[in-house]
Order: sequence, then structure tokens, then C-alpha cells
Amino acid sequence: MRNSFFRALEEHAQPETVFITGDLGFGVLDNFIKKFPAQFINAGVAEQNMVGMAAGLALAGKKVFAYSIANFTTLRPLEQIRNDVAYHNLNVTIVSVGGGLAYGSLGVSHHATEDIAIMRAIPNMKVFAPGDTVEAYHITKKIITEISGPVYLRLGRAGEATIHSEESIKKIILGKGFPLIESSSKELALLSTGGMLETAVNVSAMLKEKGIESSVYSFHTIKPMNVEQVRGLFKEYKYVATLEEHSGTGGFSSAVLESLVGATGIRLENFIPFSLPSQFISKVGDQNYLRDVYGLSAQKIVEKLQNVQSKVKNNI
Amino acid sequence: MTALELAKRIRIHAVKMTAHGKSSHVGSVLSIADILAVLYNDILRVKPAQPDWKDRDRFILSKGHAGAGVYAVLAEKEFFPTEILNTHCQNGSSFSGHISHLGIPGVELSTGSLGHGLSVGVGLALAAKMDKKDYRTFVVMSDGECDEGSNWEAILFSSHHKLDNLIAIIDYNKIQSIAPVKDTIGLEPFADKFISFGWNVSTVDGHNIDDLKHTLSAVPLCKNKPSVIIANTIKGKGISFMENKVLWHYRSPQGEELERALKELETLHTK
Repeated sequence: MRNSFFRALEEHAQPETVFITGDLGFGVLDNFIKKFPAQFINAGVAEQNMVGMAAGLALAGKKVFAYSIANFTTLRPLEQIRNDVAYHNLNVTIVSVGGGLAYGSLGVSHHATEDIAIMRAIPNMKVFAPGDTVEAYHITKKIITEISGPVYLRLGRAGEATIHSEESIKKIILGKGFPLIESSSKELALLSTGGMLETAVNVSAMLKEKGIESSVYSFHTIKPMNVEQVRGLFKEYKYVATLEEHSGTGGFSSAVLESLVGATGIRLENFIPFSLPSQFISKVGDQNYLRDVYGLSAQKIVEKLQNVQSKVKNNI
Repeated sequence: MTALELAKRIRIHAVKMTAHGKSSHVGSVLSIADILAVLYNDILRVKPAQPDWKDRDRFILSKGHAGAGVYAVLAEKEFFPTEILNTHCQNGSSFSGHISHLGIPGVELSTGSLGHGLSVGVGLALAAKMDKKDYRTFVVMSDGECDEGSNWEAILFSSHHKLDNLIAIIDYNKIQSIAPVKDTIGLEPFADKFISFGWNVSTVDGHNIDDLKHTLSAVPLCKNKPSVIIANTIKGKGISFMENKVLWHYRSPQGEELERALKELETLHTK
């Protein structure tokens, strides 16, 4: 995803585009720097100044990307994001790498598990969490060329799969969950955000082997949440599950639930959120290991979904 | 209007606004009244009828709690009518106690949390360099605000990038929120800190109009270096019973105090 972000930046940067890094990106910045030396700034290990400066550049007409590892570009300069960028509704995109547990073995400081909750609470802020390399490229291009105002762009790290086909790229619409797999059965919809997309697709395939049909939607846009679409999916499907590598407090599942407030004819007992517990993960491990520990591996998700389904069936 | 006359008007407006709005920080406004007057009367290239003019100099009040002073000077310079100043801190007004930009022509940046303005100023100055524009960026900061670490990030960055179009003016009234600066987190040797960070430093009497005008009239003050002007000031300047009193960081002048304050200001010389 990180590489796709940079590829989009290199291919679509405009004269007003400015990229600032908080002293991170060894080995991935070279092409951009070579192509746009005057539009690159290394702010040093100083994220508060990085974001304040990004606001100043944007006030002067620049469209700025401020980049670092997730917590360093969100939590550290949070007030600069809120007061300087968002209140002034400026063209600044806060780009985070390592969303979720991508840096699992590095410890709690590098686990970005509250960023979606915090960023989406800020007025004027749009929140995107692309699900694969294609979405990362497409969304970055859109931010450069079309979107205005503050954006939070949550990327994974590197090595994520490419899920979309060449054909489906053209159909990606920001602000709308993309139906990657549409089953004719309306048993289960898996709504995935960010890097959980590959897992969601795997879950769908594993369930199919067990005779359970499911659809997979990639919710790359968390804010603004498409309330109408979410309500529609809850009405259409018997079960709706959300998948996010983020705390269950305030993240994607919360945003989905918020969009149901006031809706009629919705059965919340068939809503199954998959997220991280609101706790510090002090036992380290790689991303796949930690996902499994916290119930976010395809295997664990399938097990839970089967359990829920059989319990409901038995009750009936 | 002379800068001296403008400074007097800023002070009178500020006292009335903080009294009417029952708001704090009149002492903080009075200490920068002369700086604001010189900037807006003699230094800043701005067009009140065209506040978004692209080549304007940028002014940022980083010590946002003294917003009443900027509102007052903008009104006097006809960015908007002076009558609006009466709404300061009133229900439904845009004129918040800490400076806000929304719906207020001439205000570049909303502040209020300390340690933000300089970094934004760095961004503006950097953009001017990128675009080969000759506008300058002025940032007025407080002394207590220099406790904020974010400023020192900005100070490091701007000398490394040789931002000689950036001018920080520090209102060194030596009193911060609840006690004197020297008893809180001392800043001395203050000028030396900036020098060692690669800045050009000037020290001025922040209430001497000629001194301020002289220092600010030749920006960049030093080629290839950002400049800081350490303005020695007096908190509450111009009203005898407010001068150098931490109380007037908070207290709003009412009744007899208000009358006395306005009477004292009326007698200030303007020549």
C-alpha cells in the first residue's frame, strides 16, 4: 500500500503538491525526491512542527501530504491537526503508515489502534482506509486531483495483496463501500475497512467451502460514512459483520452503528463486529500472529461466524 | 493616523471590549498594543479592502488570548466596522476571546492554544520561498509561550531552511499565567538561545514606537536567517494600576476600575 501511495504521488503530483515526511520513508522516497525536489520537505523528527507547517503551506495555496508512522502523525500533533488544519479546513492530508498492527513486533508505541476513532471525531476531516494496493493508489490520486479539505489516509505497510481486478478499479467510488464479492444469497455481508480486505476475501472463500455464501464490501471510506448504503445492507442481509484492525471503541464498527441510529427494521442482534479490544497489546508478535491472538485471522473469524450462525439457528 | 494614536485607540478598544465581554487578558493586549500599531500602521503590506490579496504580508497572533488587540487594530484599519467590536465575547458572536479567523476579514489564523503560530508561520514563509514571492510573515508570540516545545521544533527548522522572510516578535513582558517568567521556567539567557539556534536577534523597547519602526522597517533583518525581535514590554502598559500585575492576566475591568482605566488612556500623549 505504501508503494502504491508513492506511485500515485509520483504520477499525479501537481505544482501545488507538497510532501512532508517526519523523517521516515527510507528507500521509498527516492523517486519522488528525484522527480520533485522542490516539493519535498523532511521536517525532521518534529511532528508538531510538521503539521503546523503543513497548515501554513496550505494557507498559502499548497496541497500538502504530511507523512509518518500512524501514531506519530496523528496522536503527537493532534492539536495541530484539529486547530490548525481542520478548523481552517485546509488541504492537508495526514498520511499514516502502519495502520493497525502492521508494526506488531515493535511494541505498543507503534500499534495504531485508536487512530480512526480519533481522526473521524474531528470536524471537517475525511477518513480513508484503503483495502489493497489498488484502492491506495486510486484514493491517493483522487486526493491529489479532486478532493479538498483535510483528509486522514490510513495505509498499511508494504506487501498487501492486490485484491481488485483491472476492471473493478474503474468502479471504485469514494464515499461508497465497494462490492468485491456479491453473493446471490443474502445470508452474510462482510464489511471490511483497511488492510483487513484480504482476510475478508479469504473468510468468504472459506465459508463458501462450508456451504455458506457471503458478500464482501470494501469500506475504504469511513468518513463520511455512507449511511444509506449501510442501512440498505442491514436490511438486505441476514447477518452483517464488520472487519477492522482497530479498537472496537470508536472505529469502523462504531461508525457503522452510528449510521443505524433512527433506522427502522434493523436487527442488531445479527451484527457481528470484528475489532481489537480496547487494551494495550504488550505481548508482541508479527501482524498475522497478533491478528490471530485477537480473533482477526480468517480462521478465527470463520469460527466465530459459524458459531453465531448455529446458535441463532438452534434458538429458532 | 500615527502609530502612537493607533496604539492609544487599540488600548481603549481593548479595555472596553474586555470590560463589556467580562473577559480576561487585557494586560496581555496592552503589552502588545504598540507592536500591533507599528505593524499595521507602518510595516505590514496589507489591503483592508482586499484581505485575501495574494501578495499580502502575513500576520499571525500566536498568543491568541490577546485577540482583542488584533480585532481592534483590524477595525481601526477598516477591515470591518469598529461597531462590531462591541460583540466581542457576546453570545452568538464570531469574535471569540482567543482570536478566530472564521468570518473575520484580516485574521489569518485562529489560535488560542499556545505554541501553534510559529509553525504555521514557518509554512507560510516556506511557501513564499517556494513560490518566489516576497511577502513576509510576522508572528507575535508571548514569553510564556516559549515553554511550548513545538516552538523549538519550528525554531530549529526555520534556521536550517534559512527563512529570512520569517520574523518572530516576542512580547517579553516577563509575566506568565500565574507568576513571573523567571520563577516559572526562566528563559534567560533568552537572546543567546536564539543565536545558538541560528537566528538573528534584535532586542527592542516594545513600547517605543520609533525603536519598533526602525527595527521592523528593514526585513529581512539578516539575509539567510530568520529573525526574532525580543520586545521588552510591560504587561498592562498604559494603565498605572494594571502595569506589571499578574492579576490583569485574568481580571476584567469593571465599574470604577473601568472609568479610571479609560481616563488614564485618554490622557496618553499621541504626539
